Amino acid sequence: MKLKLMAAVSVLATLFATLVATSACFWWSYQPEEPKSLSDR
Amino acid sequence: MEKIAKKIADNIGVNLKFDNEKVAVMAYGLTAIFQLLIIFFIVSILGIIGNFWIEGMIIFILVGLLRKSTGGAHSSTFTGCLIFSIFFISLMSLLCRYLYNPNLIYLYLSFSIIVFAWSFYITYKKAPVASPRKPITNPKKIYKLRRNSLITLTLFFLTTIFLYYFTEDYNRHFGFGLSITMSVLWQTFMLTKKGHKFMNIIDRKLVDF
Repeated sequence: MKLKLMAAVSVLATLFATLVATSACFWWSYQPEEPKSLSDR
Repeated sequence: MEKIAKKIADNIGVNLKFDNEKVAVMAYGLTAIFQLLIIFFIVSILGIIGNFWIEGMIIFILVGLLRKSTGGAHSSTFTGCLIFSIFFISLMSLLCRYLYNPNLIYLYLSFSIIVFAWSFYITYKKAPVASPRKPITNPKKIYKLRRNSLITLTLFFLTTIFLYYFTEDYNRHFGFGLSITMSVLWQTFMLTKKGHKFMNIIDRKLVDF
């Protein structure tokens, strides 16, 4: 159960990261360092 | 908060045997989710108390949507961003909710038209404004983001005019139209040098936890 929850969080977080990567920046005004694997999107 | 996102991502990474890059991507996504949720909940609470929830949500969502393609000035800390965002969303929504005056509708309409005209000009000249932490160098991406910014602005403009036109049917339409205008005004200001200076001044006054 715990692993399933972790997998769900992981999918959601990765989805959000990809969504942000295709945008100019984060939703509001803080922009953390972007992971290398997302920088070419 | 970014540290908490990193800890959660590390924990999931260890349990699901992910590599470092996958963990970094998760931490990045979790930071984005935390930022959205915290701003959403605090603005919602303040909005319900002050009866400006809809105006607050309009500004919260529309600035976010526009910012996705235009970029703009950034706060250097997560906490700075939260305080800054919550304060200005609440202030602008409060003004939009309670500024309604049926005798001044043409004045507000003129204000909206001037704001949108300025915004189209600045967006065309400057968007997308990248952050040093997320540089944008691909010409195709720059073109796509600028085009999306202009399309988004056009949709916002048409919606604002529509809402003003029907403000006699329901006077809160006026506040919704003004909220769209304020979102555009705010986000356009964040594209300018003065917007960056303003953000730097606020940043210096705030500390991260």
